[in-house]
This record gives sequence, structure tokens and C-alpha cells, in this order.
Amino acid sequence: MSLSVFFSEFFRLLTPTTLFNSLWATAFGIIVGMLPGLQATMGVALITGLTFRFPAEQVVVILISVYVGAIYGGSRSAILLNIPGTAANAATCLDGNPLARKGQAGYAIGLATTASAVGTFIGLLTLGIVSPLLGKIALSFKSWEFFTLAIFGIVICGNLTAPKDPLKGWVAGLFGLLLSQIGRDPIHAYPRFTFGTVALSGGLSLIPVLVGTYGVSEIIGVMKMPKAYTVRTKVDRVLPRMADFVRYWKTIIRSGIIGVIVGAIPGVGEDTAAWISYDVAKRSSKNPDEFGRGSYDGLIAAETGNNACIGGAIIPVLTLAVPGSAPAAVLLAAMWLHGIRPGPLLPIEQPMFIGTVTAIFMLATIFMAILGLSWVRPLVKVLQVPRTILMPIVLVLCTVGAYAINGRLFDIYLTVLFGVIGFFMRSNDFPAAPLVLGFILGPMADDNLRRALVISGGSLAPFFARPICQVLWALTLLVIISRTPLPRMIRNMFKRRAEA
Amino acid sequence: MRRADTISGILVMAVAAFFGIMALRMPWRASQWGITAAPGLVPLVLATALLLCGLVLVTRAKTGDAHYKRMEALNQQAPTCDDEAGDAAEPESTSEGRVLTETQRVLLTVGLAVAYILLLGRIHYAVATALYIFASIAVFQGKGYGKAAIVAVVSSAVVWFVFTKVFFVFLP
Repeated sequence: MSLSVFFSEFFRLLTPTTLFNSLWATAFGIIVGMLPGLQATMGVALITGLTFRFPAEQVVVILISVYVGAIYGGSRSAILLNIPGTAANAATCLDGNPLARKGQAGYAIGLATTASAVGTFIGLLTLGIVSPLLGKIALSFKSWEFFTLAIFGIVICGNLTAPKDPLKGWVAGLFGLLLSQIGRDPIHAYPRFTFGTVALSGGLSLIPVLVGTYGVSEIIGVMKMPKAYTVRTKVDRVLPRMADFVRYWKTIIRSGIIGVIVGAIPGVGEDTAAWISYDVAKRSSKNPDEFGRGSYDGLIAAETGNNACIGGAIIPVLTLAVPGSAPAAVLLAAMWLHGIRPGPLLPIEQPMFIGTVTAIFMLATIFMAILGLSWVRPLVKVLQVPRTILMPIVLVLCTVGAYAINGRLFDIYLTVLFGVIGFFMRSNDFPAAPLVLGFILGPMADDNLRRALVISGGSLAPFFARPICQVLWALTLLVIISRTPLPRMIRNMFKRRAEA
Repeated sequence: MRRADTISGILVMAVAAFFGIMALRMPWRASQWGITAAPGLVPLVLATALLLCGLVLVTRAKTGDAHYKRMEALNQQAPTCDDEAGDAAEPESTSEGRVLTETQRVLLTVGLAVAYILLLGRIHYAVATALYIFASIAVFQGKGYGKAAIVAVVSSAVVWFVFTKVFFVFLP
């Protein structure tokens, strides 16, 4: 994408309607993000349903603004309450809250805001540069590659979102893939797992599944806790000093790159990006002991990493129609709902679209920085609303969002059912992201596997003969083997030999 | 942890078996392409993989001492922020009234949500929403019923007005 396309799209978007929509959506995203229990995915899914009647371009503006705002907004409660507003901000607590306890809450918020803005900027820059290049490679993808990509996505997503126990991540992914098989199959229109009901013949809708898994399950999780939070920290100076930023430029660049790469991996979201960025910053620091005690370096790493991840997560959405994170999955679904077809053909069908998305990102980043630095004290007031009042209202909004798209009560029942399933999964350490990714990639895997087998006359050979497939299978196997006891056994064997 | 993994594993295997059996009952040679294009092919492959994962989960829960020791060590090493009860958290009884156990809270939350969605479509949307919000606040706070009623009526009216008149969204 050339710079001229980006600027022409950016200036084209500077209309009162777009500016207004981006502003309120970013503010909404920040509020959703900062309220413990409300995830970015839930915010984006909720808005998808509520803005169903809006024009397609405005929906993309609103959803990207909510996404950017929510990932940043979670840092607010992480710093002030030591409770991450979204999973993406868990690493922010480690240094953000100690800074608040030292009386630097406002300054920590300022640093987090600036780091998030820079992170998002790195993400959008990479999105603009890499997407067209990846789009060219994606054009060579056929059924064999798409099926292998779906399997690779589930395996790596399960591995990274459940780092302690990847088996549970893979179970969640397979469960998501299986759920996506409900409904009429795309080749014979045979009703699969529908039990003769009309409601199931079209399959399970994505928005109720997402709102349930991420929204309702979170509400149950928040209401389960017998303790309530209160804001005690006072807010002081907010604007960060330039010198602090210049001093940590290496951390910013490194975390930005890590965020983008992690974001581009299917299904692996902002939380993983923040943790990896934080871990790498700690390992590279001259003062690793300061980490966890209020280090500017740690705070900047976590916030740059999670926000840079957003741009990375959109890259596979636009080029391969594969989401890089859970909120990106909703974005993908919303694009489909509004007649935009992301994937290899996007640069041909809508050549300016990548430029438009990049420009929308820029707009959201600007609003995020303005709102983040100027609205510190009013936003703290939002955190003081008791959860016993807030959560029932959020559940009401979840049901509205789920119902708005198809106008079916069945979707509301589905939302609550998936809320309970999601809560059970959370309670037993099964990550939700692979389930959602599996649910999105399921139709792609099913359709492409059977089509590929029909084309090759039932032969599996092309799946292992095509170069891109070979790379993806090799990576998939590597991931699986690395999480079995085999590498440890080999290491121990070599150790014993060396000792002998 | 082990008990939870055993139960989860059995559940996973049951779900996989259900999908697998249903997939086997689908037509396998209905088209000219034979089993390669059969509607049950992918669900059967996925159900088999899920069944294997469930089996590993159960077997590991029974025999995998090393795994659980490693998990314990990892849990102790991992840097965490106390996201369930940070230093800013305080017992709800002092700030929000009634003290309920975690299980009671979960059951109440789910129960109220189920009652709400069953009411939708049967009585007017705004009434059902106001009733649900009032019941939730009253049950969890155990006091301040007047305030709960005002919050319930105002918020349900706002939701109804904004979505039907501003966003033009269908409501149940």
C-alpha cells in the first residue's frame, strides 16, 4: 500500500459522521476495556449487533475504534485496581499498580496511554506495509493450503493460549471446530447435528457464540467473586516526559515487533503479546530486579506489545480471512455480515480497503491518545459503579446484541448457554480463544478438505507435496512435539551421557 | 485439579462420542465422489481427535504425577497480578451488602439470566428487563430496594429507547 493511498483514505474519512462515530466508539471501547470482566471481544461483538443497520464502512470505523479503545482501556483498572480490565492487560498490573502505590498513578496512566498509542501506530504501519505483500502470497493458497492453515491455526493457538497445558487449548479448538459443523453442509446441503430443528439448520451464529463465551461467562465470573473493588489511588500528573520515552526506545520498538508477530499468528491474542513483550523486556533489561516493582520499562513493554498486536491480528483477517485474535474474529464476522469479503481476493475486489482500514486505525489511535490523556479523572468515576448494578445491565446489552442480527430468541438462549459453557471452560483452565478460532475456521477446514480430496481423487498426497503445506505441517508437528515429554527425555538422555 | 481434569476428560469424551456416532449415521456414499465428499467425514475426523484428547486428559489425571508436579511448580513461578482480589478489593459485605458463597453467586447469576431470557417475548421487553435488573440488584445487594427499582426502571427505559428509536434495532 502506498503512502498516497493511506493519506487519501485518511483525509476522505475526515467527515463529521466518521469522526463522531470513531470518537464515541473509542470512548465506549475504553470504558468496556477498563471495567473488569468486560473483554475487548465482548465489546466488539456487542457493538456488531447494535450497529447492524449502519453502513458497512461506518461499522468498520466503529468496530476498530472499540477494539483499539478496549485493549488500551484495560490498563486503567490494571494500574488503579491491580485488576486487569481485559486479559490483554494482565502484564500491565505487574508494574502499573506498584507505580500507583508509589503515588504515580496518573503518570503510569500517561505512560500506558503513550505506549499504547505508539504500539498501535507500529501495528498499523506494519498492517499497511505487510498486508499487500502477504496478500500476494495468499493468492497462491488453494484448498490444500487453507485446510493445513486451519489445522496449524488451531494447534498453535491452543499451544500459546494455554501455555501451561496446551492439551486443553487443543481440546477447546477441536470443540470449536466440531460446533462449526452444526447446520447444513456446504456440498450436499445435508443437515448435520440439527435434530430436525429449523433454528439449527443454518448453524450456530457467531455473535451469540462470541458474546456468550466472552461476555456472559465473564459476567458470571465477576459476579462469582465475593469481593468488590474500590478505587483508592489518587491521580496526579498524567503527561509523560519525553525523556522517559526516549530512554526506552529499544523496548518500544522490540515490543511493537513482538506484538505484531504474535498478533499475526492465528487466534493468539493481545494477552500473549503483552506477556511475551514483558518477558523479553525483563530479560533484556540492565535492571531486571526493578520489574514487578514499578518499572517504567515493564509497563511500556506490556502496553506497547498488546496494542501493536491489534494491527498484527488484522493482517491475516484481511489477507487470509483468518483472525489473528478473538476480537479480530468478530471484526471478520462483522465484515462478512456487511458484505465485505476479506481474503486473498480482497486487494482485487476492493483495492482501497487495506488503506481504509489503516486510516481508520490511525483515527482510532489519535482519539485513544486524546481521550486517554485528557479523560483520566472522569473515567475513574466509571470504575466506582458497583458491579451488582453494572453486570445485569451488561447482560441485558449482551442479549440485545445477540438478538439484533437475526431477530431470533433462539440466539439469546444460545448466548446464555455459551456463557455457561465458557464459564465452565474458564473454571477448568480451558482457553476460550481456540474455541472461537475453531468455530471460525471450521467451515473453511471442512469445505477445503473435502474439495481438495474430490479434486485429487481421494489422494492425500498433495497435502504433503505442496511447499506451503509442507512448511505448515512441519511447524504444526514441531509445536505438538515440543509440548510432549519427548524433548525432555532426549535432553535427559544427553545429560546422562555427558555425565557418564 | 486432577478430579476436575478427570470430569472434564469424561465430558470431552462423551461429547466426542456423541458427535462421532451422529457423523457415522450420516450418508457416506450419497454422491458420485464417495466418502471423500461425505458430510460426516470432517465431523468424524474431528470427533476422533477430540476423543483421543479426552482419553489423554483422563489417563493423565490418573497416572501423570510428573505433569501435576510441573503444573504446581509453574503456578508458583508465574508472575501474576492478583486479579481475583487485588489490594483494592474488599469483602462485599462492607460495600455491597449480603455475603453469599461463590457457588450460590454463580447459581443465582445463571438462574436470574435464565429467568430473564424465558420472560423475553412473553411480556413487554422493558418490563422484563426492569424486573431482571431489579431482581439482580436486590438479590446481590440485599438492601436498597428503592434505589434498585429506580436503576431498573431508568436503565430498561433507556435501553429500550436507545435501541428502538436511535439504533433501530429489533428487540424481543
